[in-house]
Order: sequence, then structure tokens, then C-alpha cells
Amino acid sequence: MGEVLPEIARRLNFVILKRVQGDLFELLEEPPEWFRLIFAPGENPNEVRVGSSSLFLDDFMTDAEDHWANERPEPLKSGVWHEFDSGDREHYLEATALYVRSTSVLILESLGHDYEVRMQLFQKARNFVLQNQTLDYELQKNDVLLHFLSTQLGPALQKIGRSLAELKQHKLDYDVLSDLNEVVRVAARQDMLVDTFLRRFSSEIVTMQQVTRDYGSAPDVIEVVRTLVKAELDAFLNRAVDLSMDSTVPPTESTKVMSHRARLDKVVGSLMHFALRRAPEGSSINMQIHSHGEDWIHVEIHESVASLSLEDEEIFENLLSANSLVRKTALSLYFCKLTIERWGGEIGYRHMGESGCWWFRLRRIKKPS
Amino acid sequence: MIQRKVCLVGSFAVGITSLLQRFVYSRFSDKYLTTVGVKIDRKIVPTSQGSVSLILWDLAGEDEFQSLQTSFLRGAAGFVVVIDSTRNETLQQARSHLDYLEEEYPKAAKVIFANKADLENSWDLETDELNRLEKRFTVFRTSAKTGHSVEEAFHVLADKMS
Repeated sequence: MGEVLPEIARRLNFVILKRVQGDLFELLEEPPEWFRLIFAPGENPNEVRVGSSSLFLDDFMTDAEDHWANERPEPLKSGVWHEFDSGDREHYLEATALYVRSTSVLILESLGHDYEVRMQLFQKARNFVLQNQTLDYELQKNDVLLHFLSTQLGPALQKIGRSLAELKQHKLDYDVLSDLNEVVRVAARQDMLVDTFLRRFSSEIVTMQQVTRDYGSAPDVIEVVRTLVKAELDAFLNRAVDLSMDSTVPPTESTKVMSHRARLDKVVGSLMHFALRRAPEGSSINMQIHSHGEDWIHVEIHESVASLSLEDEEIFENLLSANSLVRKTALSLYFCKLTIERWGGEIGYRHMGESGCWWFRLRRIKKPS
Repeated sequence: MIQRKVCLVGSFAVGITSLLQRFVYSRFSDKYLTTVGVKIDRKIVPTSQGSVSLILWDLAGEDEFQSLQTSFLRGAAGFVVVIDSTRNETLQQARSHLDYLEEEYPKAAKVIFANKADLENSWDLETDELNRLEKRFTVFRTSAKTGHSVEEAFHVLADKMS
């Protein structure tokens, strides 16, 4: 068996080195080509100083020496590193320090195709995560743009057209009338373009306007908040910000709200994230849910230290011009506002001395009798 | 010549490899190639105490697929914690790294690179968030793409370690 071991190692792209002294090692067999391209031989062609050829191995030797000195039986792996050879080709290597029958052994492995496949998988997975993060932002942006087109621009153009048409009933100079006719035509054309665009994206608008009114399938706001609190607990812990939740709604009352589950998750999640971003270490955030009469449920995010300045209290009225917010945050808060208001609710922020509170209210869906 | 080990850490896709490519080879590529494993580069920089050879460890970015192998940090004289200025979640990760490094390597020099400073329209870091970091650490707004502040930042780190 001993005579085939060197060949087995070669074929598996391993090099087995026996320690002589320090970082000087003896080769037990003729190594594969990649080894010679990376590790220059010493005076003795069967010996090599690994530390002088590889910065990584020079560093690993500290752990390896400790491993051998303590005669530990288990293998000590270095982790994968990239090494360039004399021809500037990249190799992916991993070292293992072993103590076997009073001998300090270093095994170097060149990870070939399997490692490249692994890298490709990592690449794909990370690309997906990045795309997902970008997509989230783009979807919110689309929502806001579609909302703006359908509720602001379209109706505004129609109003302009009607006003201009009324103006034409007055006695006007020929030139003025001519200009006015042109403006009316332009307004009508723009209105038609907006209308065409909105019809093209009607399915997106329908999705955007989805709201559940049926008790059976409507989201339960306590369950939504509880799930998010559980999911975000670690993030808050890492920031040393205390997160808690309370509800004063009696168990006999419905906590189902007129909304859409995925978007409600997004709204509550966005507000929690914003509060966390600005929360100083040692502060606390308390999620509260209350009834407000028979018809409304209030959700409040109480901050022990207010995240907004007094000047920014009317933030939901001034989102697009709020200089204290970065673009993504402003968009995210605008999305929250549009969504809550689309469901017939209200949203806002209020100061309470040093502390502050994000709040929104939604229509309660009562239990069927 | 003095030699100092520097480890660069951060979330995935913050631009660690690009920063090193810029600093060591004065080059940049827009293509995102994820790092798996460790890459090591070397560069000599002048400091007020003479030249220092920086051994720069490009450690794979941390995420749910791969966590930081702390054994690679051993012996480091300096750390660069890199943030992607366009992704706020990378700041959260950076804070965790900094807490760990302050505890385990209290004497090592630490600087923060808020990278991708060229993408101003997509910044996702608020002024207050950076101000809070600046109270504890030296923070540079870097761009591996344009080279902005990269050279300066590494020189400052080298000075701190010499």
C-alpha cells in the first residue's frame, strides 16, 4: 500500500510534506505541477520552505506549530486561500496540519473543479440576494410612481383640459384662442398617454390596490406585529435596543384589519427598521396595539428616544422634500403612507417630550355574528 | 522593513476586493465576483516612522452562506471594516464586527471605509449614522471605482499601526 500512496496523493491533487524544522518541509513524493509553480525548492530539491513562498502559509504555521507541539490527533484545517503561481495563474488551496506517529505532517490540497462549482454557487446565491434587495426598492418605487400617475397626474391633466375648454367660451383674441386650442390639444394628448400607460399596467395597479375585507382571510394585526418582533429581536439585541410588544385589545374583540398581509408586513417592518436605525444604544422600542372605538385599530411604535426632530414631526406631509432623509428611506416612508391611506387609514408621527411614536390606524373588520 | 498584517472585513459585496485592487494595482472592474476563501496582497507604504509593508488579507464577505473565520484575524495589527454606502444593512453587520474586534483586538488599529461614495444618488447611510461611528473610529468615504480617499485611508491606517 505504501508504494501506491504517493501516486494516490498526486492524483487527488494532494501534496504530503514532512516537517524537518521551522517552515522547512520534506516532500515524500514527486509533487504535481502546480506545487512546483508555487513553491520554489531549496538547495535540496526534495525540500521546500513553505513560509517564504506563501504569505498565507507563513501565517498558518503559527497555528500548525501549536497543533504539532501539543500532539493533537485531529486534523487542523487552514481554510481555503487563493495563491498565484509564477505564471500568474490562480490556485485555490487548503492546508491540513496533522500529527501522526510522532511526525508533524502538512498536507496541501489544490481544490479543483469542485471548488470552482462551489464558488459559482456562492456567486449565484449572492447575486440573487443583491437582486432581491434592489427589486424590493424598485417595486416600492413603481408603486409610488403608479400611484402618482393614477391619482395625481391623470386627474390633474383632465382638470386642466376642462378649465381650458371653459376658458374658450369667453371672447378671446384670435392669437390667444389659437394658443389655447393648442394647449387643450396637448393636455388631452398627455391625458390619453397617461390613460394608455395606466391601462397597460392595470394588473400592477390592481395588485397595488389589493385589500382584504373578508374576516376569514384578513390579516390579524397582532399576529403580524408579533411575527415581526420575533424576527427582528436579534437585530435589536445586536444594537442593544430593547424591543417589546403590548396589546390592550381584549381577546373577545377582532384584531383583523382591512389591509393586505404582504403590504402590512412591509409597512410595519419599514417603520420598525427606521426606528431601529435611529435608536441609540440602551434605548427601547415598544410596539403597542389598541382599539379606538369599534371601528379602528391603532398600531404604535413607541421610541424611548424620538427618532425625528420636532421640525420633522410632519414628516409624512413633507416626505419628498425632507432633507434629513436619504432617498431610500423617504421612498419607504412614502410607500407606508400611500399604502395605509389606500386602505382608508391614517399614519403619522408625534413627539412625546424626549420620546416619540410612529402610529397608524386601520379599519377593524368585525367578527361575523 | 516593518511588516504589518491588515484584515479587511465586511458584508458580502461591499467592495473589499475592489478596494484592494484599486490600492495595490490601481485598477477597478464593475463586475461583481464574490470572494470565497482568502486572498492576500502586499504593498509598501511610507509612514512617519519609515516604510511599512502591509500584508492585506481580503477575507470573504459575511452573509448567511459564509461566516467570518476568526482564525484568519490572528496577529492582525490593523483592521478595515468596510460598509457599502448604498446598503444600510451592511452598516449593521459592520457594527457587529467592530464590537467583536474591540473586544478581541483592543490594541489593533481600526478604520472604517464607507465605500461606493461615488453612488451619491443611492446612498443609504444617514449623516447621523456616520457621525455616531466617527465618534469612535476614523471613517473614510471611499470609492474603489474613482479611487477617492482609498490611498489616503490606507496611509492613515499604516500610520496608526507604526
